[in-house]
Formats: sequence, C-alpha cells, structure tokens
Amino acid sequence: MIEARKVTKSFGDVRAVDGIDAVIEEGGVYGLIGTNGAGKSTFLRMVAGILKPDEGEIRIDGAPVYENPPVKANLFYIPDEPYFLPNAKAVDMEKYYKAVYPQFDRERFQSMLEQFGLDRKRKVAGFSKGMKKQLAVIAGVCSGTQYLLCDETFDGLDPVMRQAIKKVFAGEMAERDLTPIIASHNLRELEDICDHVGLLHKGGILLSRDLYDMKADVHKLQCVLREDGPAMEEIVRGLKTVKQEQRGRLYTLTLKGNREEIEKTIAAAEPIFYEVVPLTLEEIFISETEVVGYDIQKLIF
Amino acid sequence: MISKNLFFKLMREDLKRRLWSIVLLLLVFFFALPVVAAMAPSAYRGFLEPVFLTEHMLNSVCSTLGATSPFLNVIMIGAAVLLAISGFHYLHVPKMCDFYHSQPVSRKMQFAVVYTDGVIIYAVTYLLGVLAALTVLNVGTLPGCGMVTATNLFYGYFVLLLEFLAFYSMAVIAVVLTGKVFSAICGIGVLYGFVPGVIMLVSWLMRYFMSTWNERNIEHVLYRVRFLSPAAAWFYNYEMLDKSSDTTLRVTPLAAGDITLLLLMSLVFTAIAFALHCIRPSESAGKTMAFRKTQPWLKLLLMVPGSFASGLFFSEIGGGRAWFVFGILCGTLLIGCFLEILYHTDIRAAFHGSGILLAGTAIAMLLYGALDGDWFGYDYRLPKKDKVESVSIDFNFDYWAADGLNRNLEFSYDYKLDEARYYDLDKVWPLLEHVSQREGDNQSGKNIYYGIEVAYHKKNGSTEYRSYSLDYSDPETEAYVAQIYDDPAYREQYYAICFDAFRSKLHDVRVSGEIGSEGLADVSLTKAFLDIYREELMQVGLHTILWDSPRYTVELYSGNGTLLYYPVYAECEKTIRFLEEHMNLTALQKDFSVVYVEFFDSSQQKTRRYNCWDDPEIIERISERLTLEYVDGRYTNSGKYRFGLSYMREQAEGCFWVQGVLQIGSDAAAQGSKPKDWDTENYDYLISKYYEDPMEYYALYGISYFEGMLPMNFDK
Repeated sequence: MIEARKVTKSFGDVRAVDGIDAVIEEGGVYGLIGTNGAGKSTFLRMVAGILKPDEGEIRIDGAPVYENPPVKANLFYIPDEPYFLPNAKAVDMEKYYKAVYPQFDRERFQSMLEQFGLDRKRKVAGFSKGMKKQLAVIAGVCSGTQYLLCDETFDGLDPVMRQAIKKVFAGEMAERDLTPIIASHNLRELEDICDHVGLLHKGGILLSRDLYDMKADVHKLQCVLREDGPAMEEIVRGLKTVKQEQRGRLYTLTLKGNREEIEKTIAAAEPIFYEVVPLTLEEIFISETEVVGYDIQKLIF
Repeated sequence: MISKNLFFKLMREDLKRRLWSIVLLLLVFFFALPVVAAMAPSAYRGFLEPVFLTEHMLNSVCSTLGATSPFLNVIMIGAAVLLAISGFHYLHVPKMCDFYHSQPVSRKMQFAVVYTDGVIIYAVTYLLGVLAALTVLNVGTLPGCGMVTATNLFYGYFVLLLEFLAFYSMAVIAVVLTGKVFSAICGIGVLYGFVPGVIMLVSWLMRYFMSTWNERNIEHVLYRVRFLSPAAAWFYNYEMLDKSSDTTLRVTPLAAGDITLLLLMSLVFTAIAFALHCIRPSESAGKTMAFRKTQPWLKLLLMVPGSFASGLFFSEIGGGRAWFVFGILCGTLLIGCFLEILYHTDIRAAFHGSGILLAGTAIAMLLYGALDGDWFGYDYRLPKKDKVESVSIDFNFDYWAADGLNRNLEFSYDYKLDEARYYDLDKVWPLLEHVSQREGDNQSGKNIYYGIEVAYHKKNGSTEYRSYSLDYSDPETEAYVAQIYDDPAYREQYYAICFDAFRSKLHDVRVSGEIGSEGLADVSLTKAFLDIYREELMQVGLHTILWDSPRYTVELYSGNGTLLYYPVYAECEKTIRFLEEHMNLTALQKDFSVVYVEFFDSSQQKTRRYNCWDDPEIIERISERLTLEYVDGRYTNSGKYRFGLSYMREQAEGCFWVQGVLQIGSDAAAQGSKPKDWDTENYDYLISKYYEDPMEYYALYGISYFEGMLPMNFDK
C-alpha cells in the first residue's frame, strides 16, 4: 500500500504538489488524472523516491520510500520519456536491469521483446517513441516489482499496443498482484483499466475514489414520459439529481443513489421508455467534481 | 554481501557507460608514456659522448616520464576534470537523474560506484602506460637502467595518483554543486583557482595600497592554506619535487607530511562531495546551481574579489584611484549581473538579487576605503615587542651579504629572512620605530632610499614580513642602522665568509679591478687571505660601506662552485698589503679616456647617451667612486649605483621607466661628443633642463649623484 500524507513539493516559487493525502491499495490499477501541470508527474516522482517531499511523507508498505533501496526495489518507474543508457541495445538494458533488480526475469524479457516485435540487438536510440515506451513497460513488468509507476505511458502508443499492454497488466495483476499507478491527462485512456482514480488539480487531490463505487453510486437515466403523466421534476423529487437535460421528449438525467430504487421510482411513473445506461469515466467525473463545486469541463477537457 | 555484489555489478555497468573516457585516457597515456619513452632519448644520440649519453638520457627520461613531467601533470588535471564530469554528468540531465534515482540504489552507493570507477580508470590506464613505457625503455632505448627508470616512473605514478585524488574530489564537488555541464566547468575553475587567486589578489592589493607590505607574507599564507586547494598544494609539491634530485628517484621525494596532507585533502574533499551528493535534490538537474541557497553566497564570494581585480585593472590602465573606484563599481556590476544571467539563463534576469549586488558593492567599497586610508594603521604598526623573539633584517645595500646562501653554502631563498636571526631587539627597535613612523608619508622623489626587508619572528612561531625604505642621507637613520649593522652578531649571520662551511670549502681567491682579474698564485694562501680579510671587513663601519667605494672586488670561489664577490675598502690595509704581496694589482687599472651616461628609454626602446666627459679630472673623480665589473664588453658599476627613475611627461602622454647606468669606456663614438657644461651650483639650470628635456634632466641628475656635489632634493 502506498500512503501519501500531506505531501507538498515546490520548485522555486511554484508549488507543484500541495498537501496531497492519498492511499493506493495494492492489487488494482490506480489512475492519476489531471491537466498538464496538475502535479501528476511530481507526485509520481515522489512516489518513486526520486524527489524528496518538502513536507509530509510517502510510505510504501509502511516504510518511507525516499533513499530506501529495499522499498524502491519493489517499484519501477516509467517516465513520460523513458531514458536508456547511451548506445545501449535492449540486451544491454536487460543486463543493467538484472544488476539493479535481482528479481528481473530475463527469459520473460526476451520473450516479451519477441512478442512485441522489438529487436533485442538493435540500439534503443534507433527505436521510435512508441517502441521505447513498449521497451520501458516490458522492463518494468519483467523487473518483478509490485508497483509500476507509469507517467503518461499510453500516450504515443497505437491502440493495438495500448490494448496489448493493458492485457499484460491485467495478466500480471491476476498472477502476482501487480499494482500499476498510471498518470494521464486522458480520461478515456484509463477508463477500461483503472480500479481507482485520483483527480489532481493545481497540486492538490480533488477526489480519490474507487471506480466501482462511483459507478454503483452514479447512474445515467434516459427516459421518455407520457404526455398525460407527471412531470419529470415530480417523478425525481425523491432522488438526488446531479444533472438533467432534455432534447425533445427525451430526458437524460444523472442521478445518484441505488440503481434499483431509481428504476423503481421511474417505473412507477409508467414512462413510454426508460433505460439506465452505464456512465463513462468522463461522465462520472463530471458528476463527481460538480458535486464538490468544480466544473470538470474546465479542468480536463 | 548483497550490497557488495550490487556494488561490483554497478561498477561494471558504469565502466561500460564510460568506455569512451577509458579509451581516451589509454590513448593519451600511450602517447605520453611509451611513445615519449621511445622518442625522447633518441634526440641525444650523436650529440653526446657515450660516457655521458646514458646519464643524460636517464635524466631526460625521468623528467619527461616522472612526477615532474609537465605533460603528465597536465594529463592528471585534465583527467580529474574529465572523469568527474563524465562520471557525475547524470546529475545534470533530468531524464538521467530520474533514471538513476528511481532505482533501488542508494545515493551513497551510486556515489561510491561512480567515484571509484573514476579513480580506477585513471589509475589503471596510467599504470598500463607506465608498464608499456618501462618495457620500451628496458627493451629498446635504455637497457640496463631498469631500477632507476622503474623507481622514477612508479614514484611519479604514486605522486600523481595522490594529486589526482585531490583534484578529482574537488572537481566532483563542483559537478555535484552545479546542474549543468557549463556551470560545472566554471565551478571547477572557481574551486581550483579561488584560493590561489584570492591570495594573489590580496598580495597585489597590499602591494598597491601598503608601502610596508612584503610579498613573503603571501608566500607563507599560500603555504599554510595549501590544504584548501589542490592547485595550491600542487604548485608547492611541484616545486618541491623539482628542487633537486635524489640519485635514484631523480626528484626530491615529497615529505611524509606533504603526502599525508594530500591524502587528508582527498579524504575531506571526497567526504564533502559525498555529503553533497546525498543531499542534492534531483530536481536541480538542468539548473545552473544545484543548491539554491549557495547562489547569493557564491555571487558575493566572486563579486568582491572580482571587483578588486577589476579595480586594479582599470587603475593600471587609467592610472589613479578614481579609476580604481570605477573598476570596483564596474566589476561588481558585471560579475553580479553575469552570475544572475547564468543562474536564470535569461539576460532579463541580470538585475535579480540586487540586494546582494548592493551588499557586494558596499563591502567592496568599504574594503577599498579601509585599504586606501589604511584604517588599521598597517604601515605604521609594529608588532608588539614583547611578542617578538627575534628579527631578520636584509639591508640590501651590501650585495655580498645578499648572496642567498645558507650556512651550508647551498642556495637558500629563505636564509636571509627566515634562518638568519638577530636577537638584540633593543638595538633593532629604535630603527624600526623610526622608519615605521615615516612610512605612509609619500617620500619618493625627495631622496635616495634603500629598501630593507624585515622579518619579525614571533614567540608563537609565526613570522610577519615588512618592507621599509631607509633614507641614509638622514644621519639619524644611519645612526640607528649602524647600531645593528656594526654589531658583529649581525654580520656573522649575513656574511657568508663568516660561515664555517665557507672556510673549509674556499679554494680560490681572485681580485677584479677595472680591467680583468688576478688570482692568488698559491691555493694554500686562500685561507690566510680569508682570515686577514674577514677580520678587517668586520671592522669596516657602516658609514664607509654606505658612502665609500671599495678599491677592489675579491672573487671567492668555494669547492662546490659557489662564487662570491666581496668588497675591499681602502681601510682594509692588511688585506690590500696581502694582495699586493701576492699579485700584480696595478695590471688591473685602466686609463679611461671618456665617461658618459647612457639611458635606456623603454618607451622608444632605444638607448640615449648624455654627458660625455673627456676631462681627466672628472674621470679621475668618478673613477674614485666606483668599483667596476666587466660585463658584456664594458665596465659597469656593480649595480651599486644603478638607479631607476620614473618619469612622467608634463603633457601626461604616459609614463615609462628610465634606467641609467654609468658607463666608462673608450668608445670611439663618444670621443667626438663634447661634454656639456656642468655647473653643480646652478639649480635653475638643472630645473630648466627638466622642463626642456626630462631625459636630459635625469642624465644630469644621475651624474650629480656620482659626483656627490648636489643635494638630492629637486622637489620644486
């Protein structure tokens, strides 16, 4: 488990991270979402033990991470632009990581390189941006660490590779409780992989929730009412409405609460048509952030 | 065990990364050692007799491949900079810094790995070069000299490795303190040069502002603070090694204390670099300075001495104190702004931190005021008498006492002011009080002065050096000096003929006169001569030495090749009689036909000639005042009456030095010149000459001194 307690970090006069409190449980995928400059990378670099917080502390499995090699041996950091040793080939990086991470799985590394179509004996400097990211992810997965810190890792990958990597993550999670922490400014990218999401804004964490809980609590209702029936306002009076839109006779509502209760309330009004549809991550965030008084459209999109 | 394994694994990986520096150093050492070993001795073949060839080649090889090899010393410093930057360069690139700091390797381990690899790369590549050079020497160029060459080369290896450690550690500090390669290189320059630079600057400033300042103070300071800077220690060690040669090593081995000092320096610098590396924030990669808090201090530390250097520069060019102040203001502004631009990598940030800029300017101006006004009374202040144990005084007018030999007749720069001691402070203090009260008044141009150097040896073991000017035309001064100089206890310290070693080593005595020299016919007479002469010279009073010219100069040769010149005054009757009995002194006289004064005008780079006399009476009068040496085909006055005069044109066109030497000869060109009218009583004539032609004035001025007829004060 990664715990951040009142973590603050400034660069000169700029406060990049401002009093973040967060808990990241193992075994799931944690999505760290925010605009550019929100503090995602800084937070990840602090989790990776690269940066020392000015205030507060980050602990991994109960121990502080900064300058603590045994703790750091359990995490692998993949930056936005991965760095590889000068003139190194994939095979050189393999040897290097094997020296640094004793549990590094060389056979797995080689097989994954083949699987992803990366030449083991080609200089990494000649790889494309996406290939370098693939190589970094492969190295991270094969390092055998429990935590994988990915900073904008899916940015620059083609959809096929993105899916392939997600599949690898899923397999590792199932096999050995790998905990990827993925920072991204793109909500859609994380939608189908994250279990838990933290939204960062201006160095602070706006919300950190379990995606399943959020999905269970927020619902999108599409409904066409009878002309002689009660008005929509009357029907949902007893429900918590986050948002309501109307196009012609079609109402689209975002409602908080128990799905069965919502369906029961709507069914009682005998509408011509109604359907409770799943919300996208984007929509959930819109609703959640609006609850806490932010306009997510302005924050992310 | 895991840590050890990791350490060696990381070392191997780091070495792979630094392969280019290994290859570069291998190449450099290949050319600096085996190639030089193969080439250097061949230069002597065919020029030297075989008997001397081997010895000469050995010396040559040892000086080009050993500890004093300039090439190897330059490589040592270059390698220290190269390996520090190539090793710790990752701290300057954010991506690299994140890469290394995200891994499960502590900063301590990371430092140890990179630092050790740097030392290993230098040590191994240099060692391979030494082994290759020894192979070349023993197989090819100098067979049979294996012991000497191996000892010399390995000793050089040992010394340069120690010095490398100090330089390397200091360079690592600079790299860790900075966040860019450019600023790291600047930082290395600053750390290497700051201590010697500031000490040199202080020396220049004290020389500029204080008339009693003596350069030796700075030498001692440099010696004492050499542990602060590898460059200062290196300068000192290089001089020590180069001083004389041990037969096997071919260099003077460093003292155990100096070796220990080098090791301690390296340890301390390494510890500082290590500590800085551990606390260095990763986010400082790419910034000019890694630690923000160091920026104002660095600015202040560079701005104040830099402003004074600028002040001196402008003062030298423009002349005068106003230009000095201008230089200080320019210096603080330029250095302050330059550093801010460097810190922010933005020219618009030049005036950031203006508080420090103002503080630096204020400090510099305050220091300037203190120096210019001598607020602390440096020039007037004497050390407390009860804290002084002894003094050493070099009066300078007696060239024979200023021969720079120690009691073993070895050349010793330090003997006169460090080893020769005079303990009768009651005799010395009146003179020192007298001269120190007069210092501070600008007396130049009023009279003829001799500079003296004084070393105050204090009871706490420290020494303070001062320089004073003595006006011997002042009878009071002469009386004070006589109290000391006429004391045999003083002369026994300064006259080499009083040293026991001299008597045992003396093997030849010659007398030089106006033409050529004569030697004692029988070598066994030398000791008898010395006894007579020494006894009489010790009795010659200060007044005679100051104002009379010796009749002869005796050349005393000792067995170790030392040659000393000593004066024989007219009152040394027994000595003259002895010489007359054993050699033909009349053969040394010459009948001069013309006397003239020459000046070298350095502004025009040509010699101008004035005042030619062919009047035998004048020639006789001048001849009486001189003891001559034959130098480069003409007779000169032994330096005793050589005078340097500064000259400033009225129209302020510039200033230059005029050096005059009274020449006496039979130059055919001079024969045709008519001597100028010379009215010794006519000041107006002399002063009018000054306004007509200053050069001519000085020519007359010079001659007036020799004739001893005019008072020296022309301050009208």
